[in-house]
Amino acid sequence: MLKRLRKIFKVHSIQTTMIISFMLLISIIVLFISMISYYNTIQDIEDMSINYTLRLLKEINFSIDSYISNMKNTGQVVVENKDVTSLMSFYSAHSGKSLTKAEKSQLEQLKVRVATHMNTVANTRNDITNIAVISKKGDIVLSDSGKKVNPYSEYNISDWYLKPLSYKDNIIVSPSHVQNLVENEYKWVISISKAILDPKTGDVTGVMVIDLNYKYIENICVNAQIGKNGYIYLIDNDKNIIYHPQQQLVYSGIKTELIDQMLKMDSIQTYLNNGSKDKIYTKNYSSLTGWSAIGVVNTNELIKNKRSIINFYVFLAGIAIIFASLIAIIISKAITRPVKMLENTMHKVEEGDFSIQSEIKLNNEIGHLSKTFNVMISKIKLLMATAVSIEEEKRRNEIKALQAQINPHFLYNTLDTIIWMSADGKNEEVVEVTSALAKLFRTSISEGDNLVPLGVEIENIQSYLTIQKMRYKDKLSYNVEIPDVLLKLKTPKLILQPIVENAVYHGIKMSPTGGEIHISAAASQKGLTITVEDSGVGMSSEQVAQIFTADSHDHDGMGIGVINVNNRIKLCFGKEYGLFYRSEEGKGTRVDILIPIIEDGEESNG
Amino acid sequence: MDKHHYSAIFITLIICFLALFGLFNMESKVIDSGKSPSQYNIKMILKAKANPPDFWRIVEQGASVAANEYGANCEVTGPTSEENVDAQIKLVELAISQKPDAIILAAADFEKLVPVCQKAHDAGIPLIMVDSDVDYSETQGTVGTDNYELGKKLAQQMDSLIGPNDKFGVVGHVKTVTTAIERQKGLMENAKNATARIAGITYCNGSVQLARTQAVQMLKENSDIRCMVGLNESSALGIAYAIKDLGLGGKVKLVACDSSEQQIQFMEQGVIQAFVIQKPFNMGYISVKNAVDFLQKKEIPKFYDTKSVVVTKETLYTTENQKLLFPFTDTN
Repeated sequence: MLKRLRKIFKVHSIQTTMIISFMLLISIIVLFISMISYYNTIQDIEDMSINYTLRLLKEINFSIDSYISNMKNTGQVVVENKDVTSLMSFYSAHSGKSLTKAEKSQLEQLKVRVATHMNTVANTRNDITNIAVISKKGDIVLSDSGKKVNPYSEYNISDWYLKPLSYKDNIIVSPSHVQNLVENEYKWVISISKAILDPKTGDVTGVMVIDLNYKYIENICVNAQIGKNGYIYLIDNDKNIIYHPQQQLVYSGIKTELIDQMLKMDSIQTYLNNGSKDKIYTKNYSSLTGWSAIGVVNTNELIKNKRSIINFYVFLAGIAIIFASLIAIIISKAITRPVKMLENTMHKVEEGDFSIQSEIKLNNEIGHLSKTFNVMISKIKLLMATAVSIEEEKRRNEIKALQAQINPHFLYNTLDTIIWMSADGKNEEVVEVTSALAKLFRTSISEGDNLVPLGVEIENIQSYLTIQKMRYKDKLSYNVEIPDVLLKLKTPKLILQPIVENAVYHGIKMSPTGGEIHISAAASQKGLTITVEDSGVGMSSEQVAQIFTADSHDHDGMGIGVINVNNRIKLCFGKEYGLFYRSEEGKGTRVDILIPIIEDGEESNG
Repeated sequence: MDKHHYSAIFITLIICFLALFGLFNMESKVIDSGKSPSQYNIKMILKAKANPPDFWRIVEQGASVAANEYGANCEVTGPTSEENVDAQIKLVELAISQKPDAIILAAADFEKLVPVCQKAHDAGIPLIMVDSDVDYSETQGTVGTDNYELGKKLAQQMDSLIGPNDKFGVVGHVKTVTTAIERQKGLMENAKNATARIAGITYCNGSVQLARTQAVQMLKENSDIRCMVGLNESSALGIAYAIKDLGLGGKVKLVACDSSEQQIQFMEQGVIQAFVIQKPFNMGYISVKNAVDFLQKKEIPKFYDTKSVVVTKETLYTTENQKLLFPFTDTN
């Protein structure tokens, strides 16, 4: 599997490598960024939730504060009421003494007035369950005259009674508790109590208590919902829980709640349970009541949002990756396309087409490369042209050297013949041979065109044959049959002479009966064929095969001319042209000289 | 570009996406671990849904708090009175027919409810017992007070109030209910010389009135009784009335189970000397929590002891006990 994978990734293409690299790179960046954004968003949500909770807590504290301060004012009204203070002063003045009838009726009147006053105050708000004044000796007056004091109530050990006695100027707010002051009533209340002072002496004469239905405070907290599972609780400075939605569970240890930590915590600080992000605690402290409102948000609550946020980011990142991939493909294609084009151009050059030029006109590395390539190609072209012309020059020189070679033996023999004829006094023949020789040499020595009309070549060979006829007399006969139309076609000069010479020396001369040389020409699709036939001794097939191999002619230099002619034709016109021998022992030899058809005036680079 | 290159690009794309989903899956797992459960449908059938006694109302309160917290839907039903066993059986059958995710049952009878429990088990509905068990072992667990322990506490309170040879009488609620059986056992096995000292034991079938007459009769017949024990709220209340009727307040001690406002008044008046109170709120809460836990394939204990607490006049108004003794009700 791994091996296969590695094989797949062994790509030999810059484009693919670039696409893959781009994709990986962009994906990593996309993932990285979306992770960061995700965590930032989560953090934002948490912050938002904390802020929201804090605001909520402030509102709660504000409502509670205004409620309590309102009640404190109410309490103040009761405490400062003249009837109340005089009732209390009366109780303390007459404690332990038996009352006279007048005093009794005065007390009753006072009690009624106090009760009426308290009742009026209590009726201003329906969440006041009871107002009571209690003298230091335990005389109690309730706001609702229809209710009775619970004779078994042990109020004198409760905080709301004891605290005002020690802090006589303070209004005390109790934690939530069950009030059993009234018979048959066990209500959850918050008690606001204040010492009643004698207006003259300033001594404490009793305690006033207002019981506020706990429901009111509870409702404030219950109604302030934080999410689905979030909740709010209230604690006072003495670690008492004023309100907790699961107070019973907390007391019985099934649930634990942070109380000490919360009291120590700053107002705006948040507390993460156990360092983990399980729950977020936010606190707001009210200096009026001394209560801390604490909001608890379950981080799981925020999770529902997290889910959708995750989906959103996955979706976004997915799209980003796809887009990135597309862009990667486009970019890498744009980058690699000129390279590919250059590569294709190079391939064409490799195949031998030097005329091509790279057409990339970019002002970057690839553009420079292309420019350099073009310069290089043109230099190569130049170099090759130079090489070709040098080669041509060489060939031309070679050809010159080759055509200059005329058998010296022929010159000696001819001169011998002339001498022999002069000695014989055959002046006419001498003139004929000498003029033929002169004509022959003029042609062969003459500079200029390498190509001559076939007519000139034929004339030349006739001069040659005239000389040889003088030497061999009846042993040699010849005839030349060339159609007139062909005489104007061009042929390299001096190609017939070596072949005819060969035919004379190796064909006719060796034959005891002599022979005939027949020269003809024909044009075909393949080219112009000039045929030299002799009826001499002929050659074996081995000898024919050895004609063009140099060593067979070493001994007397004979046949070198034939090889030269063959080489010259092939050099000038190509491999398909040249000499073609056919021979039979005892019957003669036939040589076909094949050259291209070159009309008069047509120029050949040969 | 040939096929090979395309597959390389394609695989890279897949790798990128795998990385994407891998990373976010990790985060999703963190989220899923804290996810609230799906909405379970839980039926709770109590011994009585009447008011009084407060006991069952507080159980219901606890259940509804837990249901809220754990995202379950808990419907509470119960017959009008505790001794109406047949009505409870019918209610359980009705609950089974509604195919809830779990049933929480406070069995009104140790034996009579076995067949219907078997039926629930056969229907594949998990059964959690609250307060009172049944004689059936295939339930998923019981949440309640360790009643033997409660009986032991009753015995200790009694022994601290009267002399080791003083006689005592007992009024229980229903003879065949586990709570009564276990409490009685705890009382008899832990009070000194219990069998010799016990003057009588009666069952009031949850009726305060019957308990009152039974107690009056018992006290009249046995003038040497120094202490009465009530095995539940209604029987204790009946005894309290009886003691008051006979003007024996304080002379004949009373050790009671559970509390109500009336009982608290009796304690303030000195008729009742001690309560051993249970934690009905916790029972309701834990039973629903355990049901949800069980449905979420978490391990739950076979027996969850919600514990009992002794309250005397001195500890009546402590912060902790106030919440147990004076549950919030909609009326106050």
